[in-house]
Amino acid sequence: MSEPGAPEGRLADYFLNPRNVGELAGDDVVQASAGRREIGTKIDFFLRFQENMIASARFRAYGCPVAIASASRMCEWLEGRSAQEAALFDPHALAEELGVPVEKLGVILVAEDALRLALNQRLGDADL
Amino acid sequence: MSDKDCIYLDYAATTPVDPEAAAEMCKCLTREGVFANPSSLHGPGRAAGRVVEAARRKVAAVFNCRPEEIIWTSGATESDNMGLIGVACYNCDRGKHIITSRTEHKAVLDTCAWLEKEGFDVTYLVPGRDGEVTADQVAAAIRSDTILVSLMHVNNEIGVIQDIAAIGAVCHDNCVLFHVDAAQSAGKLPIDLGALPVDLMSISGHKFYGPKGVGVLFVRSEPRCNLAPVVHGGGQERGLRPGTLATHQIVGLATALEIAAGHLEAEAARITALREKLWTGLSELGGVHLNGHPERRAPGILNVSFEGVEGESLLFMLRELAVSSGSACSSSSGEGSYVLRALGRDDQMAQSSIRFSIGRFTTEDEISRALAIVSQKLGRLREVSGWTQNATVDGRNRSGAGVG
Repeated sequence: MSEPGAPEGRLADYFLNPRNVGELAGDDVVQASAGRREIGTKIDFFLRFQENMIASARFRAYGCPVAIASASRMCEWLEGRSAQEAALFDPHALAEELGVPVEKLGVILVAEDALRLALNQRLGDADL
Repeated sequence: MSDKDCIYLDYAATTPVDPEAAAEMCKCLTREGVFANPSSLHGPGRAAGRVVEAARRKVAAVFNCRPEEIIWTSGATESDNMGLIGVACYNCDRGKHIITSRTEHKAVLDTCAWLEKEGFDVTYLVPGRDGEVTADQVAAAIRSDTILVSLMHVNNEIGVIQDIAAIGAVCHDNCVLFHVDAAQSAGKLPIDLGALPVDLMSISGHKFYGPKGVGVLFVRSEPRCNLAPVVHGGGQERGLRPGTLATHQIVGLATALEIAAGHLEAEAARITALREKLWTGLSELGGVHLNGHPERRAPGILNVSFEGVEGESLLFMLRELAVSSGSACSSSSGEGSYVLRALGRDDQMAQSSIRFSIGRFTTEDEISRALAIVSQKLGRLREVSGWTQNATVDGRNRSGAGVG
């Protein structure tokens, strides 16, 4: 049975005290999900747009501490940004900020997939 | 929170050394004690040798076998290796087929994998959904070239007790040797090797309040079970396990085993009651599934899967508890416990499993506190994942991936 190392620092903070948990509904909300529970990670993003700005971002996450912490931090980062700015999301920068071990980078890429699927609804493939 | 504040519910992983066993060990370490090499012929050496043989007699008495059938090892992993490889090499001209199961400890599975590379053929039996391997399954798998069956008495992850009496009878009816990994049952369940049709048995001292780094391989002498030595050296332990005997470890194991055997029935009843209290409380949380046989189970092991949460997150959330997770999510593969997957649990259920194991020093108050902690932390993680019991479909909370 595996006993991986405990999350520390900002990673632990966002995991133990996740911000922006929840769902949004309405005509001005786009929602997308990526991953599957069967593979251990599933992340849903709900983005409310006002004009071209992300006014609110919420998430649901099933997964390891990195999945929850990443989705939470991404929601914080997304709020107040335009769709184009959001499309510049850099998973490596988030990994560095949270102190995510390299073997867990794949989990952040699942979150990135969910984000890009959501933005795609707003921008279309050409802008991503 | 310090580690000392943690509620220890991982007794299947290891146990603290019994204070009496620790005291006896200390008598074998320093110059004033029985420190000499037990194989030496001088006075201090013979004194150490007498202590080792007294320990051997204690262990043999607990298992109702002969002292000369007890071989000291470094633990059950070494015992498993010695038993499987030793039997395989000694009997390779008679046959090259071995039977085991998919839910064995890695000490057996990896040894079997190595033997396969050496030209042996291994059949891996698939247990039922409750974790049980039946004697009929073993009988059906035995071939004319089968030389050994290796199955564990109690599964280390789910606590299922295998019917080693019935399986051993099938083995002996077919002139096949039977090895049992009893690391999780020794000192916890009655084991009468005078009656059980078992040829080889592995145990570890640290699972029953003895020290780490010492174990036993029981090798039946009548009818004689022959082994090829795996380790070569000074001839100790009938040449099967050469190397200077660790008197203090051996004494610690024997003392701890004798104490555990003396309290076996009362402890089993007390620990079973605590396990049932824990299971009752957990099952009331909803979306919690018991892994393993509902009745044929060791007193101290409770393995459950939680809907709506992932095992690694649950384990970290439960850092006030010392428990083990079935999750293997340290990589991105997301694969869960191989034992639970062999039982037919899907990956999600296998990933979200937690093994609680209760032992001698567990109190009812600790179980109550553990339940309160699990209830709170599970609720928080389920809020994050959006799990609700009402949303379950076919007993599971599942949502499709994609754009919503």
